[in-house]
Order: sequence, then C-alpha cells, then structure tokens
Amino acid sequence: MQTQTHLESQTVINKKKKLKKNGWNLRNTWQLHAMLLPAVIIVFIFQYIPLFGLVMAFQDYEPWLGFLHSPWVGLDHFKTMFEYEDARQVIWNTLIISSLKIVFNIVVPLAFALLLNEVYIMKFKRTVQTIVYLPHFLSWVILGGILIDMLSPEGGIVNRVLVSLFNIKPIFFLGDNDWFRTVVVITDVWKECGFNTIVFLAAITSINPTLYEAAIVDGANRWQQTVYVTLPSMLPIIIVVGTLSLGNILNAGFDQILNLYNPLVYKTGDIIDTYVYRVGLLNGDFSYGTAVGLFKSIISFILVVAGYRLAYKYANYKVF
Amino acid sequence: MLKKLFASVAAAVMTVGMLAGCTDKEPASSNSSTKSDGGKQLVTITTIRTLKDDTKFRKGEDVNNNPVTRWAEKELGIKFKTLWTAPNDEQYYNKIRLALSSGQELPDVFMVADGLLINDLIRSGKVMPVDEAIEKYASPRLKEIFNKFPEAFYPATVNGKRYGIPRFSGGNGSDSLLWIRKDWLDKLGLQPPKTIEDLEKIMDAFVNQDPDGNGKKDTIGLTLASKNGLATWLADGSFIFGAYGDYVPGSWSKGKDGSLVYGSVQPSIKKGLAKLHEWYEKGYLDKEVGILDEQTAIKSFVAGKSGILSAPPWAAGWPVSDAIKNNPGAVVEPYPLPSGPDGKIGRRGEGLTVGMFLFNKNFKHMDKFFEYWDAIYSYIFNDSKYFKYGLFEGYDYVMKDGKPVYDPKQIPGGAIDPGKYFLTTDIPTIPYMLYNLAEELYTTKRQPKNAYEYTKIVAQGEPYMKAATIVNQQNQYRIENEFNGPPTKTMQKRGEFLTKMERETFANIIYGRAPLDEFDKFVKKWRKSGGDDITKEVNEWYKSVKGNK
Repeated sequence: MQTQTHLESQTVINKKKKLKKNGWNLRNTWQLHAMLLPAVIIVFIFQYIPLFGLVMAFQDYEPWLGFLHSPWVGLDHFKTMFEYEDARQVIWNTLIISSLKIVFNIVVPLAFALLLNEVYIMKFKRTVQTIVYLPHFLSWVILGGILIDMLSPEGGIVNRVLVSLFNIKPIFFLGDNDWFRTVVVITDVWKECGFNTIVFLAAITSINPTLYEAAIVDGANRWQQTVYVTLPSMLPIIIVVGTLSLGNILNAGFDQILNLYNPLVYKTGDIIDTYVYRVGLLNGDFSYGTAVGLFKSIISFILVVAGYRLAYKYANYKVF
Repeated sequence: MLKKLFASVAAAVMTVGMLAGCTDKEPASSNSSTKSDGGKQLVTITTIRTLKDDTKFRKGEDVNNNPVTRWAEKELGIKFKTLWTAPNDEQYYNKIRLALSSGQELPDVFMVADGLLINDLIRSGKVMPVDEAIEKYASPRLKEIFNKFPEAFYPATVNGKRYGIPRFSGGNGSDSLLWIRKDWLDKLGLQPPKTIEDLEKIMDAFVNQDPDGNGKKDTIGLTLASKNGLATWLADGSFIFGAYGDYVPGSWSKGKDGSLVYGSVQPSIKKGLAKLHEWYEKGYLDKEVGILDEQTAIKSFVAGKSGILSAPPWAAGWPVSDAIKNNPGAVVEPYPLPSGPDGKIGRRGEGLTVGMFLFNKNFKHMDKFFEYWDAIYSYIFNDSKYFKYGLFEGYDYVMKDGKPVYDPKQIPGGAIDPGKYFLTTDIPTIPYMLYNLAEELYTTKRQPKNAYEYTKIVAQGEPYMKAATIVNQQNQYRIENEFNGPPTKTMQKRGEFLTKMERETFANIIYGRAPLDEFDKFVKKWRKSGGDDITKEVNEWYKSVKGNK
C-alpha cells in the first residue's frame, strides 16, 4: 500500500468522488437504505421465497412430503396440458379476451382523455374524471352481482331498454357464447378506463404549449393540433401503457370471469386462471395447477421482454 | 460497501425468517396432565376449529373460556385449548395444509370435512387409527351408533383401518321436498301435485293464468339452481331425475350389479333432461336457470314470481319466510315429492357426515375424549346428568319457578346457543334423529322435553315440523352419494374436465342449444376421457372400505 504512487492514490480519490456524485456513499445515505429495508425484506419473503414452490410443477406433489420429498415427474404436467383440448381451449380464450381488453383499454381511455381535454369548464371536467374513475374501486364480487341483475333477460335494465328501443327479443348476455366475451371486455373497459384516462390526461397537460402556439401560427385547427401535436407527444406514454399491459396478456381477469361465468359460456369464457382455480384448488391437483400457472408466467415474461425491446427499437423508449 | 449492505440485508432477512420460524414452534400437542386445584387429574386436549359468524359469545367469553370449557374442566377434568381458529373452511384447510407441509405438530383432535385433506393427513402418518380406541373406550351406545352407520367411517378409512370419528349430519336434514304457494293453488282452483303430470299442470297454470293477479305474464312455475349441478342443497332439481330412474346427477349409487355407477351418465338422466328442456321451452323455468346458483335462484321465489321451490325443511326459516314477508297474502306449504310415470320417486340424499374427527398420533387421552363424547351425546339421548333441561342455564334456557323457560326473550341478554362451543361446533347429531323427533313432536303434539327439542324443532314453527315430517316419511326415496372417499387419481386429473363437460352439456340440452342426443355423445366422451377409469377406482375404493366391518 505504501508503495503506491501519488498518481494512483489520486485516481482512487477521484473514483471516490465520482461515487459520491452518483449517490453511492452509504455513510450519508444509509438512513434511506434502512427505510427501504422493510420493503425489501417483505418483497423477498412474499415474492421470492414462494418462488421455490414452483418446483411443484415438476413433481407429483403430496402435501405431507413437501417440496423436498415429492416424486419428480419432469415435464409430465406440461405434456398433459397440451394433450387435453380443454387446456388448449382456455389458453385460446385467455388470449382473445385479454388482447381485446388491452386494445380497448388503451383506445377508449385515449379517446376519452382527448375529448375531456377539450372541455373548458373545469368543474365539469373534474366531475366527469372522478365519476369515470369510481368503478375502479369496486370489487368484481359486487359488480358481478349488479351486472347479473342489470343484464338479466328477465327484466334487466339493459334488456328493457333494448327491447323498448329496437323491439328485439331479450338477449341473454351472460348465458350466450356469442355475447359473453363482448360483455366481459365492455364491463372491464368501463371499470378500468378511468385509471388510464387520468394517466393520459396528465400526459396531455405536460405537452409543451409552445408546440400548440406554433401550430396555431401555422394555421392548424383543433383537429389538426390533436393529430399533429397531441398524439405524437403522447406516443411515449401510450407505448409505456401498452408495454406494461403486455405483461398481463395472459391475465384475462380472474375476479371478473369467476363472478360472471357459468356452464353455459365455458366454451368462450373459461380462462387460464379460472381453469387453474378449478383444477388446482377445487380438485386438489396442485402440481398440474402450478404447471399451468408457470406456463402462463413464462409466456407473460417473454411478452414483456419482447414488448420492451420493440418499444425501445421503434419508439426509442425505455421504461426502465 | 455493497458487500456490507448485502450482508446486513441477508442478516436481517435471516433474523426475520428465524423469528417467523420460532412462532411456529409453539408446542401444538402438549398432552400434559396437570393437577387442578381439587387435586383431580386435569388433562389438556388441544384442538383447532373454524369460528363462524353464527357462533356468539357472552361478553368476556371466548373460544377458550365459555360454559362448555368450564363445564369440561370442572366435571370431566378436561382442559380444552383451542390453538387457533379460522373464520371459514377455506382458510381453516389452508392452515392445516400449511402445517402439514411444514412438518408442524398437529393438534390432539380436530375436524376435517375435505376428503382430500383427510386422505393426505392419514397418509402422512401423523394421525392415529381409532379402531382400538373405539373398542376400548367408547360407551356401548356410542358403539351402537357407530355400528349402525358404518359408511360414516368411510371418508377416513384406509387399508381397512379407521382413522377418524364421524361428525354426523342430520342424515336427511338437507333432503328436499316441494314448497308450493298454497294461495296460488287455491286461487286457480288446483290440487297439490301427486305426480309429475300434476306438477306440469300446476306449473302451466302458474305461468299462464296470472296467479299473482298483476295482469302480466311474469311468473314462473319452478325455481331451480343449476350452476353447481342440478342435484343440490337448495332449489334442488334431483326429484325430476328421481321420478324417472334410480339415479341423480353427480352422485355415485349402486347399479344393477351392485357396483357403484355414476348417476349423471345413466340413461334415466336423459329423460329428466328432456323434461327440463320441455319445461324451459314452455316458460316453467327461470330463463336464467343456467347461470343461477342456489343463492341467486331463490330470488324469484322470494320475490313472489315463482310458485314452487324444491328445498329442505329448514327452508321454512330461509328463504320461505322471506317470500311470505315480501308478498302480502302469500301462503307457502310443504308437499311431498311427486312421482314419475312409473310411480317412481327419488331425491338427492344428504351424506351421513359433515366431517371427520382426526387425532394426533401422539394423543394419549382417547379415554377422556370418549368420556367427553358420551357426555355431549347424552344431551340428545335425553338422559344427561349435566343437561337436563338444556345445555347451560342463562344461555339456552332459564329456570323460572322451578320450571325451564326456553323463550329467548326471557333469557337475560338473549338466548345463545352454547352447542356451538362443543368440539362438534354444534349440538351433536345422529343421522335421522332430528326429523324423527320432529315427526314425533308434530304428530303427537307432545310438549318438548328439553331446550334441544324446543329450540331445534318447536321454535322453528309449524311449517318446519310439517316439512320435516314429510321428508322423514319419504326417506325410502333417498338416493345417497355412496362415494364419500377422497378424490381418486383420475378424478384429480380429469374430474375438472368431466364436470365441466357435464355442466355444459346439461345446460345446452336444457336450453335447446344442443339436441337431446348430445347426451349420448356426452356419455361416450365421459367414459373415454377418464370416466371408465374413475368408475374402476371408485369401485376399488368401495371394496376396500366395505371389507372393513
């Protein structure tokens, strides 16, 4: 150590200075890390330790033998999954329902945010914003009951309106394979669009006003301002929202489907999560349920990574 | 520095982990005997239980300090210690499963109803066979009940050994009969139904002759729930299938050769489905019948839009009383189930057990357990030295002028059912006994002898007693699910698919979205997709448990 040249020690000091600049000096910031610690521990205990349970997917899990002693079966459960048509059907259903949800959960809030942005009466704007956001806080157990009543073919309010307006036969929305997915997507968009609307509205307010001023000088009307200024400026946030929701492509909404589906619409409405619930929890086939769940997570992971790469490549946008 | 941070994080995580580990190691099974003040041996029995909303405590009392625990300690020298409680079955089973997979000690005695969990517990080797203990310690009358209902032990019978004591159900307690709007019958000049044909005429009139007199065609004939299967505990459709054959959907019953067969795939079911489709087309059933579960199905009956509900006698309290409250002038009467074209009647029969009591293999006080068991059963045998007029004075009865009074209004602080504090989580039962008693009380009009007869029967009202009598008199038509063991291997693998296919096919047939012959296709597919294997496994199980007594 003592043989070190002055120059060398100088660089060390420089490095230390750099570290300080980057905020890695724990002497000054350990309090912040200490505050973070509980969260890290909780995440570790509740998110990472349970991951070991995934080995169940490769075992014939018996609760009293535990993970350590249950017999290994390799990829048997995954093979089973693709052997049976019912598993393929639910994967297909899941993909359709969730893709529709992702698309409409971006398009509808976006349109809504643009429209709301044009409203000049602040009170009205705020009120609408709050009302649209409200259903987000209701649980599907409650909404499920309300929707079953509202959509009932016997005196449900929706059918009453439809029948009196168009003079058609009442539609059995929740018991009809042709209608079920539509109902699921519409109700989900209705419930969740408030959240994305707020995100998009925030993005709109952060657009540099000089851009609009320049556009006005160039003679752009409201519509042209929207198309050439607002939308391009919002692109990054739209991509963020889209990328983040890609991770949910195999989450078609367990709570929602569980509360709305029934044997009549198994064909179009049964999704991976409800399937895992019935197989794994109700039928007690833990290993198979875990295998299906793991499969789902892997697909989701691939999609998130792919979406992230695409967003970076085409929009030059990095989420992380 | 980073290394240091990581080390401290790791250390912190480990400490937390260790702390969590420590709390788990609380001695679950103590098996200890300590001397009580009186010098009597005091035996501690640990247990766990669900504590549902219907269990109420007096102020200052709880699950470990209530009249039952005090009585057991004073009279029997047993100190019950409830290690933990769960608010519902799901959490209760999850906690037991966790305890099982993490290798924790089980409590001395606890009840489990889930067939798979019972089987897991038995195969884990952590629970004790009870044959010897029953032989040695059970009182003669307990043995007599046990021998009378050997199938009640099947859920916990493995390799010819019995590992649990049954917690009996009411036997026929949740078997259904018909509740019909008598005021509608009278208004339209109709007689109560004796046959399915009569029933169809009544339903037709209920649908087309405006029984509620509001000038609209908005009433249905029969309230059914089908989302969870057509044979169920409320708004039950099993009688329709029972009228055409010896099988109900979803139950395993004896076929012609004496082996067990699955009800839903028997040819007679097709006839029942054909009827249901016809009824649906004619508007006798709720348009939404396919998506209705038990709780949502009854809405039409409660709202006064439906004339007939197939439900157990206890429906007198709920939902029938709600229907009467909501619809001024409504009169709802219980009637026996109608018979089919060949005079056949059949209904889904409730299972004999609601759960099994399992014992830790290290539990040493089976003698004490059976002493307690006999003591609490003595109440319903009506020869208890502890519970002459009721369980505990001030809870389910009070003494006034040397006479017991059961009226809840006269009991200070209101009546509380201390039966809920027993290990059985209710006053113990023997299959068929409750409705036998109800029939006796209803037909002889004698006075109730104790709080049990009063609160469980007489106080439930006349319609309940009449309904119980009717159900009891139709006991010979019970079609019971004789498979009460754990799900078999193939059931675990394919059961979900088969059930889903069954529900889907039945619903589609009722709605006319698939032709009736779809049923035959379903049967073929069911057999091919694992049904045959399941049938084989179920019969192997049946043979293995029957070999035992």
